[in-house]
Amino acid sequence: MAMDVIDYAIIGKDMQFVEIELDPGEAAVGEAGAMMMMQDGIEMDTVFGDGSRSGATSGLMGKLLGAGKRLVTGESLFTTIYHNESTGKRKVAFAAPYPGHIIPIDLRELGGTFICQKDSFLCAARGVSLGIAFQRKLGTALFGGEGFVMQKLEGDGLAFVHAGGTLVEKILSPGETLRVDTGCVVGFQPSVNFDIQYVGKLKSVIFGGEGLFFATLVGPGKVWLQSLPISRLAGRVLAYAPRPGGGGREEGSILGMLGNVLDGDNS
Amino acid sequence: MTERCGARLFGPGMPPAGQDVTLEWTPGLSLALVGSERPMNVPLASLKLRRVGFDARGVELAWQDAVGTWACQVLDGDAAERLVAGLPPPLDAARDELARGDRRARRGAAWPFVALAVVIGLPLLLLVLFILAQDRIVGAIAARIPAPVEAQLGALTLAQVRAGTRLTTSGPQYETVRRLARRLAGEDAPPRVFVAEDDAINAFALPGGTLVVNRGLIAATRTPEELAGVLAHEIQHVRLRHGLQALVRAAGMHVLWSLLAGDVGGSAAGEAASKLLGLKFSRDAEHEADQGGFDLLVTRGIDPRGMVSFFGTLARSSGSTPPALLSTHPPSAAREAALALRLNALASDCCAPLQMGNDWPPRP
Repeated sequence: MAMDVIDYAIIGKDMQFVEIELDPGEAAVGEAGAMMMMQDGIEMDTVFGDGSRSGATSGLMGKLLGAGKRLVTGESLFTTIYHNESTGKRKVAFAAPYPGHIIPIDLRELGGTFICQKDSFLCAARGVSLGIAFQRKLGTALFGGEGFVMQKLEGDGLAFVHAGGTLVEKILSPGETLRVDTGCVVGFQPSVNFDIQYVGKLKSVIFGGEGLFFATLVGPGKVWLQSLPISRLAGRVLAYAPRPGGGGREEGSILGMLGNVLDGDNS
Repeated sequence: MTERCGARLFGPGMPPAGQDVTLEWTPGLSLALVGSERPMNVPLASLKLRRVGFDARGVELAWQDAVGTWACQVLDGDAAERLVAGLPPPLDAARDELARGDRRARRGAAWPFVALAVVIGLPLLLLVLFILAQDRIVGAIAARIPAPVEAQLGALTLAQVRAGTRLTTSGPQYETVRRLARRLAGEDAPPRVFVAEDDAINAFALPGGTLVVNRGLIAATRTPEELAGVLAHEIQHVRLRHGLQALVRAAGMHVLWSLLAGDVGGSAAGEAASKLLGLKFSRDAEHEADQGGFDLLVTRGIDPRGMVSFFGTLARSSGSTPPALLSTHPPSAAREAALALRLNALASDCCAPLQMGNDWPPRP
């Protein structure tokens, strides 16, 4: 399916939104809840899955699979398609959910695929499909700061991705290595090798405050980095938040509910 | 036969995100790069192979020339397989190196899962072992706990009981219970007894040898022998250290479970102690206490028929709401049947009736 070519403008400094101009008949897909405003003449259509395939070609299973993938990557089950049903150009805007920056990703330039941290997708031209990229390297998954599941955007149109703090694009030549604090990787071209590297000096691990591992990105290709992962921001905010009562039990285990059952009489 | 596949070329003067090119090769013979704007030669001798791609199924051909470093990547796994298989002879060594790297990666990918399995599996194994062999393990541990510790645990539990119920140490009921307990346990080691102001039909023994009898139970007995039967049963619990065993069992379970599920609070043993009241003795322990209690009654010259008949009282009263004593015990009828056999073997004039005054049951 051919991609729609869309014009856009990213507006704002640190809490941005992207305004997309749709020609008659063009459409964009947005993450549910990301829409900020739209002009008269744009119709919303909520579809199950990522809206990249037209309904006739993919069966129910295909739709369910697509929806399952979206759940795993932390996106909602439904995507909304905004299509311009009027006769002139119309605009629709999508806003970032937290302080950070929006970057446009031209999938055609990247060779059709972009791998990014989950939950970072904001909106795209119709025809861009969202998939999961499962991290097979256990060490990278555990210590690379991005977890086991990343998001894969495929197609050859524009996609907009959002992440916290300031975003920067880095170009790596063949074999060039960039060491990054874990969690600061937003996304990269699939030609880039994403791995982890042990910091190496015990003193640095203990007193350096950078953790045990760096994320390493080995070129060739383009990578995007963020200066402030939202989890880090949330951690800082939480550290300063007033705590009523003070005490409380730690919620340790994945089997927390069962643990409570074994505790016996909780009434 | 020429094969070809799509690839992406990175290098000096190319777009930063690379450019689509086509690799063309004849298996085992030649390799060429076509479709690039500038004609390029791939210097086969100095070519380096590397695994690339997010799923590490792609392959990269890298080389250096006068201009700089070049990299040509085939990210599609199947195309990469075909390409590697068809590389010309000068690259045999590089291909073997790639295969060795793949094997290393597979091995490397396996050990964290082994470690994970051990971390999860070991506590699980311990828990299963503990459950399977719990009688032996619990018995061995309980036997090593010194009597003063047991007494301390008993005191701790008694404090818990006191928090919920009023315990008295005076009045005709208390005196009756005390006299019976002394006669059963012997004058040299008289157990501490309390009468709880609770109408539920219940009695229980605490570690260290304290007996607590509810008012409700005393009121439900028809003869002194029935009350003596209950006391004999509870004294056997104390002598056989059933309370301590149940405590060890619960603490062991708690520790192992914490190990398995995380949240090792360190207070496992303390929590288990506070839960002693709610613990059940196993059916085996009840059976043991029944048999031992029967023997004790006979030894002390008290008619064990009272013990057996009280099971009947319990079974009847369980028709409406089960008394507390029943909820943690095997069905009374089964216990009665188990002891009835031994009653038949008993001489009819074995024991004199207990003299406890005229009005039975005693008033508070």
